[in-house]
This record gives sequence, structure tokens and C-alpha cells, in this order.
Amino acid sequence: MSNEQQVIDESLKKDYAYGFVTDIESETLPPGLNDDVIRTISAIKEEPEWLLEWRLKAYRHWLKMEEPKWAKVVYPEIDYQAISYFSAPKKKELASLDEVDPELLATYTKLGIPLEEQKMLSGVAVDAVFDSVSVATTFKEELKKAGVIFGSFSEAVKNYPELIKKYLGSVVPYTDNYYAALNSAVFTDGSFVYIPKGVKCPMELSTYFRINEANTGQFERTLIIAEEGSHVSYLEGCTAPQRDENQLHAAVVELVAHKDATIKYSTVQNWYPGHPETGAGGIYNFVTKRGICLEENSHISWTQVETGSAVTWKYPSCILKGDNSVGEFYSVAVTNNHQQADTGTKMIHLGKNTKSTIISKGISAGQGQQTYRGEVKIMKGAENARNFSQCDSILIGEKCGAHTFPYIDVRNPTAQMEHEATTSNIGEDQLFYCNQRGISSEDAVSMIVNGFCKDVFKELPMEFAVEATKLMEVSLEGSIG
Amino acid sequence: MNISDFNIEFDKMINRDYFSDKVHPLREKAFSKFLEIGLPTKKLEDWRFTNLSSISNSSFRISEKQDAPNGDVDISQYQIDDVETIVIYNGHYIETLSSIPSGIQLLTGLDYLEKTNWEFNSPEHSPFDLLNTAFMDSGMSIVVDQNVIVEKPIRLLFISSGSESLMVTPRIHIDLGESSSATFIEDHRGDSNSFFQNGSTFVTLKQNAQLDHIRIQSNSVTTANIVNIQVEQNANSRYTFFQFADGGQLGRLNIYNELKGEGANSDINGLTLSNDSQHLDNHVITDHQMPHCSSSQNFKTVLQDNSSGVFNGRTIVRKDAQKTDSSQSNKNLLLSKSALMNSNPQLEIYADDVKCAHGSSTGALDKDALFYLRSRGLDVLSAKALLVRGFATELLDLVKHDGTRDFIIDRFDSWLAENTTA
Repeated sequence: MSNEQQVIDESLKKDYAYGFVTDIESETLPPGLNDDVIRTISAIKEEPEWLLEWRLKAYRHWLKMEEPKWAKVVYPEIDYQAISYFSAPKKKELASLDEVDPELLATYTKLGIPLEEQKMLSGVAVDAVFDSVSVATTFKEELKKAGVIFGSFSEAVKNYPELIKKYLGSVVPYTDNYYAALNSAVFTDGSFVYIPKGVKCPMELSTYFRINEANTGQFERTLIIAEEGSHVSYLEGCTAPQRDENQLHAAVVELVAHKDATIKYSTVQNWYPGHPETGAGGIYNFVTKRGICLEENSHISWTQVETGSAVTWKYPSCILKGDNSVGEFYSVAVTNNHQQADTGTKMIHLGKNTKSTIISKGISAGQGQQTYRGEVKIMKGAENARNFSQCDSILIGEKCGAHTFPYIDVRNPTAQMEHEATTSNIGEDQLFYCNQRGISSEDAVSMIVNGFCKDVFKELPMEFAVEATKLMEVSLEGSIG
Repeated sequence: MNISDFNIEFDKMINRDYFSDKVHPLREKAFSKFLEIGLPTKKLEDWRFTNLSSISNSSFRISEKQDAPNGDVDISQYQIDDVETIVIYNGHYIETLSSIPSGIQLLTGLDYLEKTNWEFNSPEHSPFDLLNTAFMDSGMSIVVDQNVIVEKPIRLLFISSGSESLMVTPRIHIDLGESSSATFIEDHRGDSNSFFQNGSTFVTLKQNAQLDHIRIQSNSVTTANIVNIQVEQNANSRYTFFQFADGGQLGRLNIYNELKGEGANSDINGLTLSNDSQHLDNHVITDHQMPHCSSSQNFKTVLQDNSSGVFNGRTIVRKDAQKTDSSQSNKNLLLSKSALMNSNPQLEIYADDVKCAHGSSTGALDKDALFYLRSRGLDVLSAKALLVRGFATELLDLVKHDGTRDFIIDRFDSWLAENTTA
């Protein structure tokens, strides 16, 4: 046990490995939110009149709403007037990577995403979002050849206004919830992906989000549209610098899958979880993610590995409208130290023969509190709908908690739905067995946890799976006692 | 019932000459708290699936002396074999029809409060707990001394009858002393079509005590039944609960079960049958506070027509409740296209060395099983009935007392005969 204790001590002392602040001049609005701020954001981004109107409508609706309190998370009240709603690196309109601020590039290098290298080697196009404005987009040319549109949201507003007008808010309307309304009012940028009919996207699309400017809420908006018979895999990964003030992140992600289309959306999230001993300063992650399988045989799959953030409030959902459509949700969430997560999914079955699978693995250590909250709704018209849900939790240590709150509404008798869940700890006998075979406790835990998460990791794209395994090790190292 | 209706009824309650004014402060405090919060709405997480319009849109009055029966009542239709029965008719205790079981003390609510030196902890989990304290008008306190084994089941028979819209608020206390054991049956019946019952039952089990608690909700399908059961268990005590519910337009069972001593065990089960537009709701909280306790929740619902049902089970495992072993299961059978079931089996766990599992499934009868039975010569109706019977048998078998089990099975079979459709 002394060996384990030592590991705990070491890991407790470990600072957030990705915590650093990049010193780049930013153009930042003063804190506060009112009509003028929204007009200014819209003006800076040279947006058309209709979009400004939409933002203002969302803002007025938001004013009427109340912050949701039902999640099992505790955090000090957020002062929405103390947040600055716009921050962008000053240098803009870059023609190539060479013009990118070298310091910014260095930041990416520190994070392990050298743009140039990725351009050459990995075959992954990166739309790096630094705070709120896309600075550089690689591989655009190649994607263009395939007809794929992949770029920042603001560019898309300028270049493809008819697509944005048609789909913006079609899956997550601004009236949806408090944070979605706020996002709709003040979103600054994000990613836009359009896959035309019959195209299989030639590479995995990836965006690295990064929160930087102090006191700046990050309000991203992502929209992915997959036309008939198309296929796309999208990766989202996040790391953030260490901060002492809580940062709010309220993103909205909308996915639209037409007939026979497949969208696979993977996330690895490792934002600053707060000070290990006090929990101070971590990121608040209040995200609305939803996809709609609009027509028959469409397929949407969410995979997420959540290891960061102080407070997570996130329910990636699927509306299975088309007949025979499929929705999937694979999740690994880790809460260590003072982290809190209330996360899960919603599967709403509308079409006939729709199928959904939910696999959720929760790992709670330290004083982490984790809640799985998921809803499976089978509506009247969903003949022969099928759902399988499994949510398992591992508890490590005496002060953590794991909670499971599934909501199952069935309105059609031909539907079949199953829900299973277990909660347990890492057995002493399992550890003993590994020790006996010469495997250290630390390795044994890592092995057991990775085995526990395997069902989810195998859904991740290769590079992400490696990163995820590493993240798990870092997040949990030494939490066994 | 709107707030002014409640106010009028409360005034009548307080001014009643045959109720002790010693209880008035308790009633007044609870009522003023109730007025502050009012009836729950669908906006509250705990009540989001429960439509209370059958209570809020009708007006009920409290039961008066004249609502007691005139002369004799024939209770043979409510017969259950081999039990001691205490009859409460429209909220009035009928001594002539009751047989007092030996080995126990029967106390009135007031006697019970005196006995416990008024040190009684009234829970306030919902506005209905407060309403019960404000309006409690009937019920019984049953005290079993230590080491006493009560062989014969004690049945409290609640009959609601007549054409008046009555609000009856029974309160039952069951106190089992150390190493005692008893079987207690709450039996709710009657022909009244408009009736609002808001009952509370408080169970306290001392060390090693053992209680079998059976609740039968078989009153008319147009009544409203709210029931709040609060169970406190000490070390190594054992509590088994089984509810059979086929009555009530609105039924809502709330159980709050606290495992406060090491080694305590609780098994909470329910079989619910609903048709027409019935809404039957089961909310169960098992709260593990000490190590080495075990618990299970097992609820099944069979739904026909436009009926709807809710299962909301929650198992809480507190920080100190290491070595907890708990399970939660909810299975539902939809016999019609327009039936609706909401199932929320929830776990809230703060201790690491525990074993907690839960499962839920909802669906229609298995087509393959049906085909198998038909290929063996059974007609559609018998095949379906056999499958539903098979679905429920696991729970029906839990009723240990023969007379009660026979009664429930009869009731189940006649429901099945009426509700199996091709």
C-alpha cells in the first residue's frame, strides 16, 4: 500500500499538464451583455441582417428564461454580466500558415498539434479555433475537390448563407434551453461542415477548441450537414490553459443527417478541471449537442471521452425521425478531485424500426460526483423501435459518488427497450491477482479501467483512442489507495 | 380542491368537538406550510408525470358523523380468509365489525402521540405529507411489544362508500419492538365513485424486528389514492412490502425507506394493473445509511387501454453505507398501443465498496412465445392470459399468507379475464 500512497501523493501534486496562457494580443469586448453587445458582435463579423435579428430574438427569449437547476451539480452563481462575450486574436485574414502568429503556432505545438506536421502526415484537416475566431484551416483545398465544405462558421455565413439560413437552429432552436438561447444570442464562431450527396469525406475532420482569453465565455456553434448517402467522421478535442477564474463554455452542436447518411462525432474533452485540492477555477461546460436523423436509414453516432471541466452539463442527443435510422451514444466520463459531471444522452424515437444504443461508463475518484442522466423516449409512431442502454460506474475512493438517473418513456407496445446499470469499485481481488503476477497496482488499475472503457474506446478513431487512453491514465493516476 | 376549498374544510376540522385540541397546533403548523406551497405541479421533477387534475378539479369534503354507516354493513364481500380485521368505513372505526387481534396494543393517534411524548418526526417530503398531518382523521396505531410474534395477519379494511365526494385522511403507525414479528395488511375497497384518500403509514422496526406489509388498492377506478409510507429500520430488521394495485383513477404510492441500522434488509415490491384512463404511480426511495444492509425494489406494471404508469425508484447509498447490496428492477407490459409507461430507476451512490444494480424493460408480449403457445393448441386469449400470468407470478408468489394470496390471485385472474383482448 505504501507504494500506492506514494503514487497518490505524486499525482496529487501534479499540475495540469496543459495549463499555460498564450500571450497574444486579443480584441476583446468589455464584460456585459445587452442589445448593443450583440449588435457589435454581429457587426464585427459582418453578418447579414437576418442573423442579427435571429440573435436578438434569441437574446430576448433568454432574458425570459431561468437557469436550469435540476442537474446534480453545485457551483457558485454565474454573473452573466461579468463575462466578456467576444474575444478574437487581432491578426486576421491570413492567406497561409506562414502568416499565423508564431506564438500561436507554438501553442499548438505545446498541445501536440503541430499544424504543418499534421498537414503532411496525419491526413487530418484541422480547423483550429483559437478562442472564438478560426485562424487557420488546413486541407481545405483537398476537401474542396471532394466537394466537402469545412470551415469556420463565420466564413460559412458569408459564403453559404442559404445553407446556414436553412439549417441554423433547425435541430437546437434558440428556445430549447437556457444555454442554447444564450449561445444563439452571442455565439462567435465555430465550425461548419457540409458533405454533398453521395460523398464519403476523404479524411477525418478535426477541430481543436481552445479557451484562452481570461474572462471570455466560449460560445461555439457547430453545424454539420450530411446529404443523402454521405459519410463523415468529425473529431473535436479540447485542452485549456490553467486559470483561477471560472470560465463558462456554452456551445451548441447541430447535426443533420439526410437519407442513408452517416455522421460520427467524437469528442475528447480535457479542459482545466479546477485546482486539485480546492476545485477552484475549473471550466463550466454547459453544452447542447443534438443530431437529427431526418430521413430513412440515416445514422448518427456520438462518442465522448470527458476527463476535464469542473462542472459538466452535457447530453448529446439523437432525434430518430427517419424510418430505420440509428442513434448511438458511447461515453466515458471521469470525475476526479472536485469535478462534477451530469451527463448522458437523449434518444427520441419517432420513426419506425429506429434503433438506439447507449453505452455509458463513468469513473468517479477523489471527491468527484458523477451523474448519468439519460432519456429514451419511444413515441407512438415508432413501431418496432429498439433501445439498449447500459451505464456502468466505477467508484475509486470513499468520497466520490456515482448516480444514475435514467428516464424511460414508452408509448408504443411494439418497442423493446432495455436498461442495465451496475456500480462497483475496483475489487481488491482483481488488484491482488494482478500484483501476484508482477503487475504494479498502478498498472493494474490502468488496465482494469481501460478494460472497463473498452466498449467506448473501440468506437473512437485511432489517434483519439491513443489520446484517450493516455488521458485516462493522467486523470486517474494514483487515485487508488 | 382549490385553496379556498381546503381552507373551508380545515376550519371544519379544527372546530370539530370530538377531536382533541391538543393536536391542533400540529395541524395548524402543517396546514400553514401546505398553504405556502400548494398542491405540486408538473414543473416539479418529482411530479412531472403525475396529473393531479382529478384532485385539483373536484371538490371533496371531510367525512362527518353522518357518513358513518346507518346500522349494519355487510362486509362479507370484502372477505379475506384467516385474518383479524379492523374496519374503517368512510374514515370511521366500526367496533362491531372489528376483531381485535391478541398480542398487540391498538392505540388511537392521540394515544400514540402521548406514548411517544409527542417526539414524533413528521416527514415533509411532499405537500401530501403536510395535508395528512393537517387533516388526519382516521387510522390506527399498532404497537407490538418486544419478542412477540403475531401469527395471524392484522388487516385494516378501509371501505369507501356512498355518493358523497369525501376526503379521508388515515394515518397509521406500526411500531414493532425488538425481535417481534407481524404481518400487516392495508386493504382499500368500496363502491364510492368519488373519493380522495391521502393516507400516511409510519413503520418503525426495532432491532431484529420483522414486518410483512401488504397493501391492496382495489377501490373503485374513479377514486384518487395518495399514500405516503415512511419506514425506519434498525439493525438486522427486515421489512417486506408488496402492493397489489388495480383500483383508483389516480394512484400514487410514495415510499421512503430508511435503513438506519447495520444489517437491515428491505424488499419492496409491487404489481400494478391498469386499464381505461387510470394513472398509477409508484415512487420508492430506499436510503442506505449504515453498512451491511441489503435492499431490493421489484415493480411490474401491466397496462391496457389508455392507462399510464410511472415507476420512479431511487436507491441512495450514503457515505457510511459500505458493503451495501441492492437491486432495482422494473418491468412493464404494454397490452395496448395507447398505454404509456415512464420508468426511472435511479441510483445515487456515495460509497465505493458496494454492489448496486438496476434494470428496466418495457415492451409488448413476446410474439414468439405467443406463437409457441398457439402452436400447442391454445387460443389467442388463453395464450395471452397465460403469458401475463407468467409475467406476474414471480410477484404473486411473494405473498406468504395463503388467504391473502388467494384473494389477490382471484382478483388478478378476473382482471385478466376482462382485459385480455385478441
